[in-house]
Parts: sequence; structure tokens; C-alpha cells
Amino acid sequence: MPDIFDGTTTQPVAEMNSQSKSGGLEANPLEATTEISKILRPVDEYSQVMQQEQASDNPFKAFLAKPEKVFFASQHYEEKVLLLLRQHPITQVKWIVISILLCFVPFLFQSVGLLSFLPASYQFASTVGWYLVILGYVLQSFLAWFYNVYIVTDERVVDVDFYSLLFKNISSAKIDKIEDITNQAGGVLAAAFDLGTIKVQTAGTEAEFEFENVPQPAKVAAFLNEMLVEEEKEKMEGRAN
Amino acid sequence: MLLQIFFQPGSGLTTFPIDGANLILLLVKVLLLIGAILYLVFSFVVVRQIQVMRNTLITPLAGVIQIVGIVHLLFSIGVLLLFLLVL
Repeated sequence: MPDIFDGTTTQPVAEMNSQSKSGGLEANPLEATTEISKILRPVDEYSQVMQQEQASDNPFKAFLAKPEKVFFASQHYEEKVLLLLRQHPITQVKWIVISILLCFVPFLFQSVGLLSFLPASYQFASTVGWYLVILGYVLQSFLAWFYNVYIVTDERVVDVDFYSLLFKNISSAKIDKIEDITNQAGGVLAAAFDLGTIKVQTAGTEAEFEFENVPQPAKVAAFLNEMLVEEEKEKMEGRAN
Repeated sequence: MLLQIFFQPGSGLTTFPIDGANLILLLVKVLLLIGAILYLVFSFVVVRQIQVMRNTLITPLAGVIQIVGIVHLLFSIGVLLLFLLVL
């Protein structure tokens, strides 16, 4: 069962409230209330990038700010997904064009007469098999795009990679472990469609995160920087979670 | 015996002027059937992988994608049956 359903891994906010009340804050109830409200501080309060973005429930978007009804397996109870990224749709044009071109191959074979030495039933079977293979290719390519996502929550960044149908890799790093954010963009596509790669360097031995060919990379980098600043503020104010 | 199983007498034989025609047809038939069986295995893997993916990233579209995966699996079963019937 995914951690998202496991309430024991994290501490619910209500529980924290009661603990803080019994943990010496009873002398000042206002302080306890303020602390909880700070923990639940909405992203729009500290992020100018998110202020400009509307919450969306369109699961096909490559830049999905404040997504509704989107969760991931190791998500904590009070963790909120703030930004979900995929590769820019323009990067997927390659396999779409290939698929469309492949659809015409049987017609080409027919016009040239390449399979004319086979009986009609065999030719029919070959054509059906060919289109099934194209269907499989389209399905696999779509799944690879749809489920290879980069997630920014209020606590961490998560990179979900499915290398093929058989291998997956999910890595995450806490926001406060981020040391460096690089925005790389180059080429005609990047300039024309505003896409680029965000490299996130984390502390220690943790690997570098690469958000490849994501839309609006400047916005993503700005948002990550805002998250870093917010995380530092949380630490200074003693409300880090 | 193997030839009798895979190749029904009279189907397409007249279109082949050479003696090795039966062998070529048999080869094509075996290749298509093996391809269809392998594709069926691939379709099962896709369905299983979709389950893993939808457990990893939970979106409102998960149900639709699951249905697409199952339909794809049914297609591949259908194609295998079609190959067995037609070839």
C-alpha cells in the first residue's frame, strides 16, 4: 500500500496541534494557533510564481501548477503537491510523426507489391499485426511521457522515472537539501516553445536532479528558489517540518 | 505432420509456382504466430506496468489508462485468435 494511505508515517496536523498545546504552549494559546497556521501557509502567500497560476485538474498539462486530485506513492499525509512537470509536448512530436508515417507503410507495400507473393489472408494478417505493433508503440510512448514526471511539493522535489516498461526509479530530495538550481535552455525548440532543463544539485551524496525539457523553465527555477527562501524562513522561525 | 498442422492443403498453393512455396508460407505463418504470442506477453506486461504506474502517480486519468491497457490486451488476444483462424 502506498505511503499516502499510511497515516502512521507522518504526524497529522490535528495531532500536532494537541501535542503543541500539551508541550508547554498552553501558556500562550495564540502562539500555538499561529504556529499551525504557519505550517499550513498556502503557497500563494510566499510564491509570486504560484500567485499567477490557476489551480488545474487537467492531467495532460506538462506544467501543472497546484494540481487537484494528483498524488504520488510516497506522499506524506500533510504534504501538498505544488507543481507537477512533464516534458514539453513538443518533445513528443517525434514519436507521433513516426507513428503516423508507419501507418502508411502497408499502403506502400501494397503499391509496390512487396507482399504480393503471399495469399490475401496472409497479407491481411500482416497488416493487422503491423497496426497492432504501432498501437503498442503509441501506448508505450504515451505512458512514458505521462508517467515520467517531476514533482515539487512543499517539502521536497521528486523525480519519477520509468526507463522502460520494466524499470522505474523514484528519487526525492528535501527542499532544504537543494544547493544549486541551474536553468539550461538552448536550441531552436527551446527558444520557440519556451522549454529547458532544470538541474537541481543537492547536498551530500544525493544525485543531481534533472527536469528534462520542461515547459517554462525560468518559472520553475524561480519557484524552486522561492521554495528555498521559504524553507530557510521556516528554519529561522522554527516552524520547519 | 507438422506441415499438416500449420498448413491446410489448398490454401494459396496455386498462387505459388515454385516447390518451396509451402515452406515459405509455413515460415511466414510461424513467424506471425510467434509474433502474436510475444505481443500478447508484451500486452500483459503493459497492463501490469500501468498498474504500477497508476499506484506511483495517482491522477484522475488512471482509470481511463487502465481501461486502455485492458482494451489493448483484448486486441492482442483477438489478433492471436484471428491469426489462428485466418492463417
